[in-house]
Amino acid sequence: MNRDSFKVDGGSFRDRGGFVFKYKNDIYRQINHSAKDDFDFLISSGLCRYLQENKMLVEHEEIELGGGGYKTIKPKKIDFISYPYEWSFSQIKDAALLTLEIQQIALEHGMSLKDASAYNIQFQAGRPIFIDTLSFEKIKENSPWVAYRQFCQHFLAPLLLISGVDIRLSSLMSSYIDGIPLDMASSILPFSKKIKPSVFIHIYLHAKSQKAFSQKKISSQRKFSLTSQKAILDSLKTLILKTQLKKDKTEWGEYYTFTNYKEESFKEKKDLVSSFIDQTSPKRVLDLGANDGTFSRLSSEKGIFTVSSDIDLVAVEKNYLNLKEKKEKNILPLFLDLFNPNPSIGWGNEERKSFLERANFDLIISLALIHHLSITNHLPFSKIADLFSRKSRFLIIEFVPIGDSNADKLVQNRGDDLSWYNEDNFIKEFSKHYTVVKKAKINNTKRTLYLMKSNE
Amino acid sequence: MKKIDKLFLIFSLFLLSANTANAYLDAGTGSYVLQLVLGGILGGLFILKSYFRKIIFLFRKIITKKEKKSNE
Repeated sequence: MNRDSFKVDGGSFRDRGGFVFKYKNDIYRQINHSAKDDFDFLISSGLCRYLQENKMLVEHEEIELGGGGYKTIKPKKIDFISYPYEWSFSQIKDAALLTLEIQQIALEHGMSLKDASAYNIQFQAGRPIFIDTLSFEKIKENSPWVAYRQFCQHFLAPLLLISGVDIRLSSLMSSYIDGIPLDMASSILPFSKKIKPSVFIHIYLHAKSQKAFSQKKISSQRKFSLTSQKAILDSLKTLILKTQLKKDKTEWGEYYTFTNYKEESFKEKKDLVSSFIDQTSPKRVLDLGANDGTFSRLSSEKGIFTVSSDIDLVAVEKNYLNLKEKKEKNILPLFLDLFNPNPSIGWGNEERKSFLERANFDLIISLALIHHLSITNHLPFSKIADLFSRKSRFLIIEFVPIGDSNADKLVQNRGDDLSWYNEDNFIKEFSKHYTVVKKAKINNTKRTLYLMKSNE
Repeated sequence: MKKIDKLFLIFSLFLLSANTANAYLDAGTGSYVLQLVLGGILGGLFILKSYFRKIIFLFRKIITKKEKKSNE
């Protein structure tokens, strides 16, 4: 193995049983000798095969790379690594239910999950999948679930806060890398939610118990039966299944119901975007400000992997529910605040990578977005062109001029000079990074669609 | 009151006196102890629930059989 092309993943240090590394652009997982028994049992018990056949655990093949350790496996590549603070409510809920289901199945095979981190779940082909093959250990007799605390912090607390308080509280997950502290969740949750028996137990009492027994040594002879563990899992599952998102209406949730142009123009725009996509033959597309993913589907339905991002979590939720209903495989809805993209977090700022570090696309689609970036967020065209051109080779961008009713809504009551916000300046600045390949006016609107190719 | 309920009540009252946890303290022990207590209570309910499900399943089976027979 050429050590120069070998790099251990920054987020892979907690498990002494092995680690994830990158070698020549591929991802591998080393299994150390200390994890030999558990890994062998995962295979021999049939658990691994069962979970993989049911698309619950990422598939892998054993590889001989000539490195150290007991074995090296090469997991099937995930299209895009995303994090829980980028998921909508139902994405977190499905990830939580998958984790519980895997634990329930693992118990039947004499194994148990030794951690329940939300980062062990990724979305691939439209559904959640568990990616940490080394998370399984043989059941320790008479012991409670070692990952119970982590499950409550990574899944239960966020779901209860999002559904019971505010949908935007999912962003707390990026501040607390090991999940939302339970005493904090307990203090945020309103009394009416907290007194529900299972919430009271798994959040309130749990937080109190953590405080009461911190730094205390306990020597329990009490046996903890498998039925008890199954009961706790069942209680968690019932509670999570009951969580529902409030039916809030946000600014963007109904966007396509209230567009300011006619149906013919909408169709024309779709046809134009579709033909622009065909001209670039991309493998990976990022749709910015995708709303419910209507335009993202122009690429995903061509079999192109598409990240469909938006700042509105209700829109991301709708997008995800749509893909679930239609069983779509090539689209990944994600929350992205382009004004403040997620930073790198964790030890050395290397555990979870920033959005921009992960963003590696062939084509960016930016429709009806530029007026929000430039007028609302005061971004000069030069900064937008610079960032977009660093992240993908091609760009489909719609220019929305002042005079368009949606842009005018942003301009009203603004006292500053916005004369710089015009199509000539837009082209002048974007031409420093891009070459315009195609340009098309959308009939009956003031908008123009551009297909551009990066000069870099 | 059953012994296990008493235990739960005492445990709950004991915990209610605890305040905000400090982040640098190990939170694992509390989760462990809580599970030991919960295991007994929820375990009992879980067994009852499983029996209840089995009974419902059995009833449904009988009703479906009867319906099938009457249709024939």
